[in-house]
Amino acid sequence: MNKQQVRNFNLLTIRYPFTAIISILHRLSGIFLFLLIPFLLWMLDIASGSSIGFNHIQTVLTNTGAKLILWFILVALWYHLLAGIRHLLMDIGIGESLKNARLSGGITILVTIIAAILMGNWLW
Amino acid sequence: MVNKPTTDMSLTGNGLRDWLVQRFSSLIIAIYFLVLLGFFILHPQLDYSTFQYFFANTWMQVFTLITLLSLFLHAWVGIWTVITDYINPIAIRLTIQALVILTLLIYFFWGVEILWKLA
Repeated sequence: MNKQQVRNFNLLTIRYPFTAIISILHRLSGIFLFLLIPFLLWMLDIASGSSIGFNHIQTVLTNTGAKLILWFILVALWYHLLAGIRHLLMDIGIGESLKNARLSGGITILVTIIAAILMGNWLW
Repeated sequence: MVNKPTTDMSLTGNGLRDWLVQRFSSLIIAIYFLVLLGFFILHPQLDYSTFQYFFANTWMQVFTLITLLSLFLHAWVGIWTVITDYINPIAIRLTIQALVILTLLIYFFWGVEILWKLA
């Protein structure tokens, strides 16, 4: 057994290079989505019952707070999706070098920002 | 002293299988998200009957059910990975993981119940 292996997962003491930030955001967006699934299910539950419920949810979604929650969920979903695609590409051997990992990380952030603007434009 | 990596309460008890489930489920959820987003974007004046008709379609019912199952598996593996990395005390870790699995079960059956209403 390799007893020399060094493992440090203490979030307060590890360093955060750019690719680590891409990775931690992938995890954070995943946890965020897991916690906010009830909001989506609740909306679908009410909206699926009857046209009255459906209209109620449409009214709820005119509220800025509700729009903001939905916008955050959509942005987290886009980020999680894009970072996930980046992961799948690395799994099949594309973009594994540090240089390309930084590049694809930058693209992930950039496309998420574009998606965030488009989603905001769509909701408001 | 480095211990053997834990597989306590991991989805399949096998890292490679978990990894595979994680990848396949991600593809299903990704496609479902894009289909749903596309549907809502293409129907800016959406009414209840169009909404209900879309989800009552047999293919959409099957697709939604598979996605709900994928979400359950995907989040199990994902949250397990994160918890296992950062939470060391075994009792706390397994308690949280058990609560996560319970929560995911509730999500799944809640989703199935909504699906039934739209059928």
